[in-house]
Amino acid sequence: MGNITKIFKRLNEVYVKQRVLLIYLIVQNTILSLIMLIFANVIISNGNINGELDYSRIRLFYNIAIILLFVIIDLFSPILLSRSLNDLYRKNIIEHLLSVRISIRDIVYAVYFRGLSTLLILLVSAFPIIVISFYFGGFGVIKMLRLLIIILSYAILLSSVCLHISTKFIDENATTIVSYVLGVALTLIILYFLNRLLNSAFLTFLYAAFCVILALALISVAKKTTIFSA
Amino acid sequence: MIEIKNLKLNINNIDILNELSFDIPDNAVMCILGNKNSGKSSIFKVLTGTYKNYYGEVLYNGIDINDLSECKIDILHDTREKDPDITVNEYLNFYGSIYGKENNDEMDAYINDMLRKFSLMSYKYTSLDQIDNENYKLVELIRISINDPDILLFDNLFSSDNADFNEKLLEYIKGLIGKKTLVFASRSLNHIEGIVTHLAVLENGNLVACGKKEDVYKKAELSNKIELEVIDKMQDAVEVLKKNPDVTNIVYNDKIISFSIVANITYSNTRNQVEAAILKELVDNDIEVYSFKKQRVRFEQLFGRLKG
Repeated sequence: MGNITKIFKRLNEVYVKQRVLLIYLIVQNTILSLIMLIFANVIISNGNINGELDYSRIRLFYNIAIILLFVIIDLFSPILLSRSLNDLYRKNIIEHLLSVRISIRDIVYAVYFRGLSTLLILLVSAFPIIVISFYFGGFGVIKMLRLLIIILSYAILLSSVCLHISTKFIDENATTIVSYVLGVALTLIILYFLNRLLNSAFLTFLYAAFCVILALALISVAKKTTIFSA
Repeated sequence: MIEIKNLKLNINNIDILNELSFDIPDNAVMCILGNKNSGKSSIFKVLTGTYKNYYGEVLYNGIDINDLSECKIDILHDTREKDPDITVNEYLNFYGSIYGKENNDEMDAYINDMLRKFSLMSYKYTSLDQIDNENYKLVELIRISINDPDILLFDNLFSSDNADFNEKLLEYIKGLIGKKTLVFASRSLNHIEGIVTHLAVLENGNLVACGKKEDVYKKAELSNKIELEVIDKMQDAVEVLKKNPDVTNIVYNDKIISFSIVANITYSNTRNQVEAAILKELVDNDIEVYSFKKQRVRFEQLFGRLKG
């Protein structure tokens, strides 16, 4: 665990130094705030004196909010992880780390956690605005929690898929394209079943368990890739 | 001591190393000689634990190298980390943390000392990929010195043509002789012939010869002859050399005396030191030495003889 933390820290310092995360957070929250303003404006203009609202007219906005969360994952998982391991390989960093007795497992998990943690920061930063919009949109707390679990499980799964892909191709463009295609495909599948998942606690749990187990399996296979032996 | 027994390595159905068996004694200065793709770097990757899917045994003081908990064997790679987002200072501190050294004032002082020693202080906050290959190798030497391993592996260390840089490297390495086991992987003995005590010669993953340098040279029927020219007192010079127990095979004519050295080269008594002592003895006997030329053993010559 010690080495995972050290590599994580090094990778994270580099990423923060690039200021990408900070710029993204500003842009993202500005966009979400604008959506929220439009959303609030719609609520006010459609509400009557007793506070009764026509939910069917504002449903579109929280559909957009849900899709936005998936877009964040689809957009950033490939950026953060699909080039991660092959990038380290190309820069000779993997070879150098292995030669100082750092295990393959430590490298893979450090890279994965670094990507995933950044992704989670992006998601968490979007949550307050999303939660408010859902609250005004008549979305119950239980459903919001289920949505949270679905989103997080998807983030864990797609990150591991991207990490796995990064070990399959040395070429950066190939890994990015494959990751985006897979990300969009997975999002469409989940969105298709989203209502059913949100309406059943059992299905939500089953889906979350499936995502985590598949993610661990993909990371485990990533450790045995040829990048580490060639 | 490192013991390599029947080491076999196959990657993607290509035999990289074939049944290699040899030892690297403690505090030896060994050179693994071989052409490109002969398997030199692969041996290093096995020794550092990068390659684990080999057959055979590789032991360090009787312990399988993959079971070593600490990084007792460290390597100065032929390749460099191409990370544009990390400075020299961050790089050294990162590896320091990997080696279990805390990033504190003491560590910072050590890094500063070493950077000053190699005249690299101005590069402390420079991005790693901004420094040239020669200075990068010096940074790597500092990294290894933080670890302070028992065995140091140098992959193609003297690849630069910069004489000052090579001299700086050699001076530092000479300071390690007798304290550490040094193993070089190289295509030639340039710069290190004077300090090497053991040789392993490789070809296409097969061991052609291995052992003490003198024994390998003997096997190749080569000797490191020295040719000496003196202004006068030729006979006196021959007498002085004859009395020296380290000197043998003295042949001379009107102008040139040629001889070989049979001194027991130890870790504190390198070949260069023995040669310097012989030269000093001649000068002390008022013999004016006009030239003192070493006949260098060329790798191709050695390799050809061993194969021949």
